[in-house]
Amino acid sequence: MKIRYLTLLFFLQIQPIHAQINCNVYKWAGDTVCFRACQIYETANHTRQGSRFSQMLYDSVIAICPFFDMAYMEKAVPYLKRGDFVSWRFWMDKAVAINPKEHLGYRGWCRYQFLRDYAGALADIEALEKIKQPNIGYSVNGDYHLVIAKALFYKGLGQKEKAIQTIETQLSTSGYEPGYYDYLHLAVLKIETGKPGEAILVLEKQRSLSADFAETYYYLALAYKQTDQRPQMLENLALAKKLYEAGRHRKDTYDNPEDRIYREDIDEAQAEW
Amino acid sequence: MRIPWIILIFMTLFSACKPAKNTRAPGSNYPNNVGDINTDPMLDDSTFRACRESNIPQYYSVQSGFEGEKPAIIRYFKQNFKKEKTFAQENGYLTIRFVVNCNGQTGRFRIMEMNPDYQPKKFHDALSAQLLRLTKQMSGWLPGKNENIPYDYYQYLTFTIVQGEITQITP
Repeated sequence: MKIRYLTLLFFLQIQPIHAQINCNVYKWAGDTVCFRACQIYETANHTRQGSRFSQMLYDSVIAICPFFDMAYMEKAVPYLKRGDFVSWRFWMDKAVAINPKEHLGYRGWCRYQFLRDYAGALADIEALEKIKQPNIGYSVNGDYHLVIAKALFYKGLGQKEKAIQTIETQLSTSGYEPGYYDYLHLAVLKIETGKPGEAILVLEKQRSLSADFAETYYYLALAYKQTDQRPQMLENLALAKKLYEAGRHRKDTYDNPEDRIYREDIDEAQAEW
Repeated sequence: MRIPWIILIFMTLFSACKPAKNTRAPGSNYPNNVGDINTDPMLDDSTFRACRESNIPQYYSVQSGFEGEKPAIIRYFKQNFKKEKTFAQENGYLTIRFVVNCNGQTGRFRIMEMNPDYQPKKFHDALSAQLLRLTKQMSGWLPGKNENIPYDYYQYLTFTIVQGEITQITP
């Protein structure tokens, strides 16, 4: 029985967040109760998120199989998205208590994304690093490796040099594929710490990785301004404006992402630079 | 004995409706949808109307936003929020959730407060009242839109308060 449960736990540990759970792992372990709970969980995942019916289905899963961590997590999600962070945290903490390897990274990321709770987010990711190595995984939206996310938390806490060091170390890690915005954040940090020349080099890498959003060109323009290269500054600012007006700027369904620019940033730059 | 799982669902659905003694968890008394705000004549402006009461989506489900984007929101609170001496010990998060109707008018404001450890707390009345008043006075919320159909939507603003100052506004 013990071996069956260990096997079951192994399968559950490697389930990514929001993935379909293979309910058969419960069946194979001889746990017919949690197998049924898992089937209800799958039904709940197809209901309207946050609806009474959906929440009650997750309650059913929890009532039948109290260690079904994904049900607590899914039940918590609508509270998070709708600004009831007390309720979110109450249910999310239960998921973390049952399966910290699976949920600490997600909780940490959400604390950052929805509340800019840099210290709390960092504490969660550091706790995750102690129990999950070598790869702590990615933010739930897929935009960041959680080590890069950590750099954003350091920045939020005012530790910009540490943030730079964290990103540079991650980028030089063997086998690491740079994320879509890694170079952008590194470049902005370079600008903010008075290294515009280095920022230009980093932004060129960002441009070769993805040339289609306004922030790359806006920050290039800013770096060229700081290095007194006016023609390049004007050229990049015009490109930034064109992309912004086409809706090609950083956006996220739930928040305004880090280092996002706004229309007034471009307008002010055009008027004043 | 094998119990058909559909019966099991209903058995647990009904038992789940009844919270155990003294262990009522936050958010366990469900409205139709998590976060729904019903009109309260004691709290709400009687002239405010949602355009389609039966379907008020969340801000992230439709095109929504504020004129001038987030910098305009930050500027508004920077210019208008006045820290008082009595706020000096106030820390945590204060969320104001409300409805933006399909004409861009706002109503049904509700406050949720918590300390830095995500536990419920009560901010100084003058602080929460000021943030509520300022949020109610904001003009510039854009009507919701989806495929050119106008929508109402639920919006919220969360203020991070550190020693009585606003240090962040999200989302």
